[in-house]
Amino acid sequence: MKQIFTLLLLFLTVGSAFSQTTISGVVTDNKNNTLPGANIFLKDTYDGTTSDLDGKYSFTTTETGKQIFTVSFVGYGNYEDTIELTSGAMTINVELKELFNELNAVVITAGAFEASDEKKNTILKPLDIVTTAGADGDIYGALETLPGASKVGNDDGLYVRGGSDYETKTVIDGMTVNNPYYSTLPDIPSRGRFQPFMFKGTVFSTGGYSAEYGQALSSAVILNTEDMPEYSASGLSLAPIFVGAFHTQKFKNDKTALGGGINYTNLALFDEVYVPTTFESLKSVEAVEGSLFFRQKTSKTGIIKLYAQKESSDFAVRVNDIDSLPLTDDISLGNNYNYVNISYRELLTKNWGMQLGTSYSSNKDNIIADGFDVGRADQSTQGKVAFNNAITEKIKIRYGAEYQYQTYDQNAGDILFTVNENYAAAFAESDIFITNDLAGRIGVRAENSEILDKTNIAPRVSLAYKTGKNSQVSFAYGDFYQTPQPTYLYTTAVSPLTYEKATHFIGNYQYVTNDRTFRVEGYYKDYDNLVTQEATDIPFVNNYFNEGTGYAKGIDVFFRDKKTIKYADYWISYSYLDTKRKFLDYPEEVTPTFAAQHIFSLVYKHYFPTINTQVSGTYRYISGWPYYNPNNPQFLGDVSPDLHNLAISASYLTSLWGNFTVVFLSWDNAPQFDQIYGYQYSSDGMTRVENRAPIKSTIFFGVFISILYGEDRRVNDIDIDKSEE
Amino acid sequence: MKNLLTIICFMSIGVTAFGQSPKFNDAMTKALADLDTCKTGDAFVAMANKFDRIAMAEKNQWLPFYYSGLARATAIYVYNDASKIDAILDIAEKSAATADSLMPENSEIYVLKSMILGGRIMVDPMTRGQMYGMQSMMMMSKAMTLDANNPRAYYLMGQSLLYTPPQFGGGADKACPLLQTSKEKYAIFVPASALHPNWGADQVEEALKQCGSATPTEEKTDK
Repeated sequence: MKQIFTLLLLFLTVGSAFSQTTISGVVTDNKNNTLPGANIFLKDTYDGTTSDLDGKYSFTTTETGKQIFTVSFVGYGNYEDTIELTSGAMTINVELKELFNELNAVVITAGAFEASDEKKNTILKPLDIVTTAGADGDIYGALETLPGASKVGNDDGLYVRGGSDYETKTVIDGMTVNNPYYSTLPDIPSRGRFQPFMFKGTVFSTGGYSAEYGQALSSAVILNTEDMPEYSASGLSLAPIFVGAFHTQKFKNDKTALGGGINYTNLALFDEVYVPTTFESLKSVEAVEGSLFFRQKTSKTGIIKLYAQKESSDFAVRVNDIDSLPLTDDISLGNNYNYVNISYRELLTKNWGMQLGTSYSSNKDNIIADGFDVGRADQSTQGKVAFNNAITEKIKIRYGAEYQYQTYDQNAGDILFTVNENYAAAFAESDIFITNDLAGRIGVRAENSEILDKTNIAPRVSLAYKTGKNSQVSFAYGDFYQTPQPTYLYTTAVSPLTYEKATHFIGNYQYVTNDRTFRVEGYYKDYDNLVTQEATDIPFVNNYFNEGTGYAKGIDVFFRDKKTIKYADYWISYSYLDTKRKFLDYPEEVTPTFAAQHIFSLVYKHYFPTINTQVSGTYRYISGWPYYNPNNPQFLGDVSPDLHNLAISASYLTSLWGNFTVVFLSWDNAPQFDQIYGYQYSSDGMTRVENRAPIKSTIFFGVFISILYGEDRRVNDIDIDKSEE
Repeated sequence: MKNLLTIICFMSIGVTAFGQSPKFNDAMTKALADLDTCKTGDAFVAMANKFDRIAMAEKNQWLPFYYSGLARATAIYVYNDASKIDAILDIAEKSAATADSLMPENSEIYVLKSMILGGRIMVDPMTRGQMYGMQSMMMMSKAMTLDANNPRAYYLMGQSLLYTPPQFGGGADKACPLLQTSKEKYAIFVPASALHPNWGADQVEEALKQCGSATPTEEKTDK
């Protein structure tokens, strides 16, 4: 017995001594960087280890014979090799090859800021837009704090990099929006029609945008609406100037959602407290607005989205007549607006996606100035189809076509001017990931305008190169065409008009981590064929030509930090702009009235957790805009004074009857800075009037309640007693 | 000789009775002991790799996939680096999905899924809090309905409510009863085997410290 045991023991120990092998080595990638945390093992055994901080590994195995030696590490292809295990030591150094991963690959960013919940390297998120002081929940008010963009004086519209406001287009779900701002009169401020939380993503392009979009010489604000809501909810908004309610219903099948809202605005109380100084309010702004949305998931990958908005508003003002003081002019504006946007997207195959869209908008402004009808109306019907294919993992193409039918009407007393336009366009674009670090995009867009009776073809090219783990450089070049504004198309041109044109050259460097962003971008825009006008013998009637030219160049800097100060998030943006153009009635190339040489914004947000309040402040400096002084022989030789603004806001999070509530307070121009946008002269040059905001400083107060329904409420209802059975 | 044969026979019975080889039991027991001693993020990832190796070799055992996911879900809290979170949790999510396919409708796996979803909030609480918070809660609720006696489900739900502001439905008054219930369930919990999940009893004690004074039964009276 004893002998057998000894034999057994001997057999076992000798056996194990025979079959022990130690395998060691280093794991690196194809750039010679060591990889810590890689899993090194023999396939179908437990034996293995993890590489250390220096990429080194070492483990011992008692397996014998042929084994499959494997190394795996996320983001890299697996390494496998059949080896023969003999006892002793083996050294296997492994080089892993990086896998192509679109999420980590370089992103073409020249000319674009992306504010989306999905993308990793985003600059601004939708929540940032709503919490920015001074923006008052207006998308364009928040975009103004980014470099390159500015509102000018009382004008609605965004002025981007020396371009006029009509050079910026708003796009929702792929389709151009004709009237993104509420209708207003000159020198009376307005705001955007669409609420920020409608959108899951905002791409603000300051130039060089994709071939998919056109008809905007300077920039595009590309908005994508939310797909399916997370849960059913109702909301209530209350403020001294408006009251609104909305309801979102998500059906149990998780595939259908329906909702709508209604808003009533009345500025009577506001006008009592803040009496406007630049005009007299005859009838305060009163508006009713209704919106409807519908979502239907048609399959795992397909969805139909519908959004509709209907609005009606009116107001009347009395303004001084600068050419014949103390006379005044009474102007009233009644607006009716309808908008419908339906889109459908679906994955036809794993690599082939399709998007269809159609939209209709109609806008009618009844404007009566001293009994004279100067109303206007426009209608637009649009259809668009686009496809995207992933031809290989690294080459993607996108292509499509769109068609728009538009009518524009302008009243001049009893005379009605009308212009109809049939617009067709097609585009194709390819994204090529040459490596994980180098990507290029090449595209072309062709447009045809019936009213101009001309076709244009615009190339667009961009390139991006990753210079480090968190940094990259990006370039863009492209031609951008835009049909002249309807005002210039009403009368038959003496000589045929053509598209206005801008050519962009953009280069940027950016460094983005989870908590900090730094970005510097330089650009040069060359303008050609801008609309110029010559007076005729008939008053108010001009001849139009495309003899305008110009340039815009500058540097934009952006820095954001969410890390250094606890609970604080701030960003700084600075723009330097040098631009001159000859267009409309300008006698020569000069700096236009909407271009400021220096613009600086500082946005600071701080959250105080003990009192559940976020306080934010926005400081803005603008160096002044050129204005027309008939007494100055140099055209637009005068510049308005420097402008400063400081807006402060606070959001207090609480709950009312168990529902999530935000109490919001904001104070615009808190320090009461004197803000002069420019001067307006009478025709004889003897009188001048300050051009300034109607109200120097305003305080806004509102309460927003959001009621959630559905499974999330179960948290409060957990039946503890039942679980103890 | 006869005794030796009996011993060998017993050993082979041991192999077939649990469907798990002694090799698997030994390796898992050692790995679980090592998991308890992990202190750094790298150590947790190394343990996750170890469980991955066992999981890939065995192919049909859900426990190593579960523990691999658990090790990674814990690693992100130790690293405390938002830029690492999504990449690590992506792997953990795959491990949890494989565990689920091998052992569907299992309460512990749903607890793990909830932890993974909750972990993602840390990347950007303001933007992700609502979406991932809700999804995490729904997974935990499912874990509770699958096994009303799972103490981990009550502990983690209580824990997350403790750190959710009252405005969003959280707060100590909602969290503490759950934590107390969890403690009671830990006291009577018996795992299906020595390898089945049995963690969290110490953590819930720690969490209860935030809940105020001791219950009357624990007061010591002076004599």
